Amino acid sequence: MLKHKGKASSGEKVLVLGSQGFIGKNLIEALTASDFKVEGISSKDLDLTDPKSVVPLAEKMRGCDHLVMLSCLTPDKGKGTDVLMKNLFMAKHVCDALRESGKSLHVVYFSSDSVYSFEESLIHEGIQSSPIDLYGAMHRMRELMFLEVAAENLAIIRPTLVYGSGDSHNSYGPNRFRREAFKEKSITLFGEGEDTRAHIYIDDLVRLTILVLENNSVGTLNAAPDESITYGNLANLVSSCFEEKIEIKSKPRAADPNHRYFETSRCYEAFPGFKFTPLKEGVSKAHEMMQKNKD
Amino acid sequence: MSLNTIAYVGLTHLGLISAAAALEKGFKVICFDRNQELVANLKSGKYPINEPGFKEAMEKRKDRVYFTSCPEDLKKAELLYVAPDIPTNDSGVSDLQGIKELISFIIPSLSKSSCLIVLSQVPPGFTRALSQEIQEPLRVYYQVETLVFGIAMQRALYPERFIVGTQNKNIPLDPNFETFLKAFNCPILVMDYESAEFCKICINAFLAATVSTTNTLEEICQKIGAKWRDIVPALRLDKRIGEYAYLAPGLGLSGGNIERDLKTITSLAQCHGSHGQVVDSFIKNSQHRRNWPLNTFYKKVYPQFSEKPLTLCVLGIAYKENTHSTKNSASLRLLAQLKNFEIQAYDPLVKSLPFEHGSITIKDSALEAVKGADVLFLMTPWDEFKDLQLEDLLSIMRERFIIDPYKILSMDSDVAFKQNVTYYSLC
Repeated sequence: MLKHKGKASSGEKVLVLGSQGFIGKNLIEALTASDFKVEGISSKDLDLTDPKSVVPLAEKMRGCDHLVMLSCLTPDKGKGTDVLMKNLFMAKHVCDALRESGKSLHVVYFSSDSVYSFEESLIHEGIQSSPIDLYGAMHRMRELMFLEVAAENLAIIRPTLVYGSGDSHNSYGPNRFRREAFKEKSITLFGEGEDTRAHIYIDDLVRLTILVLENNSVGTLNAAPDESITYGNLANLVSSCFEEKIEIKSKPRAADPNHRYFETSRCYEAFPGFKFTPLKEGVSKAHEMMQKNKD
Repeated sequence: MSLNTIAYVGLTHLGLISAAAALEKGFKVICFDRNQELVANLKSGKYPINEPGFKEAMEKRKDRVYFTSCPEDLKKAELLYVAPDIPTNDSGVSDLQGIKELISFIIPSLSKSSCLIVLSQVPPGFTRALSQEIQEPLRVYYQVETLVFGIAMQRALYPERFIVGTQNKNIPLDPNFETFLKAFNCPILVMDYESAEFCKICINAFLAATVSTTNTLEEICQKIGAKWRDIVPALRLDKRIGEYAYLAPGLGLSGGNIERDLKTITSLAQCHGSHGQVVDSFIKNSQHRRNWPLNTFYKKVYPQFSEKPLTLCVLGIAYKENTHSTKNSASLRLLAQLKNFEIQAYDPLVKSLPFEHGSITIKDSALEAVKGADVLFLMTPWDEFKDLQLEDLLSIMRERFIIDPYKILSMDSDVAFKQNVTYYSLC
């Protein structure tokens, strides 16, 4: 559950690590239009896997009030121990820089709902994290690393699957379905697409992040709507955005179906009045944006 | 030896109800509390609790009850029931300091031939430790209370059984104590202190199990199109489940006592290496269930409104009807979760909130609270709300959204459709 430590003042500066990723780009754009000042750092600017990044990063931090840590090698870059260790070293160097800076920044760490196991199908922030793969374990370890260095000032955001225009990951979900439908006039599901998942629209995730920054919120927040859908129904939803017929294909699945729903009361309690974009509306918006951006 | 006077120490809901029941059975009663203001109020007929039949019992036997703050007055009593509230923290852990201090305070004033009976909810081991501290010949017992807010007098006068904890169950009960218990014409079960203390916890664990199971199954019913109300009669006719089982779906556990006992079980299980996760699940299920009104609002109602400011009405703040207690009240939780909304609230007994809420107005009547509301939440099943007429409500509401978990308004889908009401309830 999040606690708000007080309203941020106008002109406070946010340092965004991972500024060229899908979430980073969208967040920078929204922060630029807000009362915050913003500076983004991408892997091209600074290699966080390198210990030499600590000193220049600490210097940047001294001029900032908030840090948003998005930098991460996602599973599309590899799922093995090499990627795991790189991700852990990145977090270590950012934590070292926080110590080195001598400043108590408000830190927003972007984790993932992969820290939860599939034993529980109804997820909320009160559930113990219990990752089942290296990616989830990596995020949980990074959460603990940040807790050690910034416990009193740390917000952990655990987004579920994010969709919207500009997604560079192309993971199994709305964006990949839309791209497949556009290019191949078909969508391929594992099995019949029985698994159930929630999907958060990028604009909702950005709005939640800005609320966390504006309120100097600390604690844990799952960024996930209370609407879940099977991949089969999601494929139908995506295909309905196209005028031409989209074929839904099936390929063998590796494991039994599993399901994930979110209990979002803690999010509503933290930010009364917040509305998630309904999936149908979000998929339609993303489709329009992707058409416009030739994504 | 003849029994004359029973004393009640700690004039809480439990203490006062127990005293009223003793009065009804024809005994003389001393009511003691260190809070002099409370005693003065009671003397002048201002009672801090509201239970059907309570006030009448006290008024009817005025000549046989004596309110006091003076411990020396307790010397006249043969039986002393100790019944202070045992506060709990947010996790349900008991703070026993108050009851220990109270007992230490009164002990020097007691007659050595009297019996001290602990009636408050204490963890296993408490009464044995107490009896070892107190010198003979004062006899110490523990008695299980099964107070149910709202029907407390009925349960106190007609208990299903008495459960008594004693140092050694092979030694007969004190004759005065036995005489008193027998006046209620119910079975008397005597057992060791620890068994009796844990028996109370076991009773609450079984209640929690039924409540949690009911709520879980009803939720699944809603998802798969089954009707819980059709299933319930079949369950009640099964002797292993029973006529009186808690099969009405609700918003989880509240009031604090059951939650306290579940916490004690999980702590004991953890301490002794037993598997207590099933009880942990009852607690989690209750927390999940308490969010039903908020989740229903956000998922089904709120998206239908544009950005205009909403006025919400919450009827009922107490955790259940016929009480002013708000401990773990689902309504209180909802109010805390809706802090940014304009809220008009009303409860027949609760007139303030235990926390700051900048945008709430407590109204003097249900209809005043409903006036101009876009969304109506009915959060406590007070009889007063059952008498509300749908037409009256709709004529003063701005929009027609009603979230009524307990189905107080008993609206079926046909009525809701005809009246153009968006209506959500459990079961």
